[in-house]
Amino acid sequence: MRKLIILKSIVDLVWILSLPIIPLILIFIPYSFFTSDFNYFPFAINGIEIETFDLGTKIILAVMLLSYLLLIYCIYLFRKILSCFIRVKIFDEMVVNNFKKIGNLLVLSSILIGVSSFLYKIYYMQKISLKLGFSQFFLLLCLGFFFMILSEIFKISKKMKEENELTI
Amino acid sequence: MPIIVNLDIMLATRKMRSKDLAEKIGITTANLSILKSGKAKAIRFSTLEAICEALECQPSDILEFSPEV
Repeated sequence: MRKLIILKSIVDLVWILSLPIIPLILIFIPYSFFTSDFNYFPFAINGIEIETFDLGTKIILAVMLLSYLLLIYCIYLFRKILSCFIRVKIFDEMVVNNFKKIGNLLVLSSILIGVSSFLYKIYYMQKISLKLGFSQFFLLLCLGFFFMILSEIFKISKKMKEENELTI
Repeated sequence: MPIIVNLDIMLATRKMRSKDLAEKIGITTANLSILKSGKAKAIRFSTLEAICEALECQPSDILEFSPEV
């Protein structure tokens, strides 16, 4: 249980630190479409410095920021799961649903990040590169599928627990 | 569920109360109620044996298969 409390504290800290980012992203996305002067903002997408600000770059940036919002929402859902675990509600419907939601959102987010950075590299840097190993895209994709599998496992476990409880 | 538990009928024919049966076979009245209402997912052989012994009957007297319509 101590490990669970440590994990919950870390996730809470990450959640609290990411809270101020949410309104900033929500304000910045519409703002970026109405302004063209970005010279005083140094921007980078996955480590690539953005030099030209046209509609394409703005769309890619907006997609990237939206995917970061999805990641923040995943942290929120994970916090809820950990609270359930602390209350010893392990094989709960909410836990199964939240694991599934996190999995789907992580896969979606990884695809959004991967596709947008790939497109940026093609259009603005005229190069195609595929980074294997611990790249953000593959790590998020694998994590997403891991959460989906975890959801399925918890679903089976929940059913087995119910059956065990109803065995006389 | 297509398996019907006829424990109610057996108890009525033997004029025995659920509480007495539960005490005799060593399960809680809540669990016996789950069994009687058909909410149970499974029954242990040991429980079935104890019920049959207490009610002096066969497992077929307690359990019945009825295909779902």
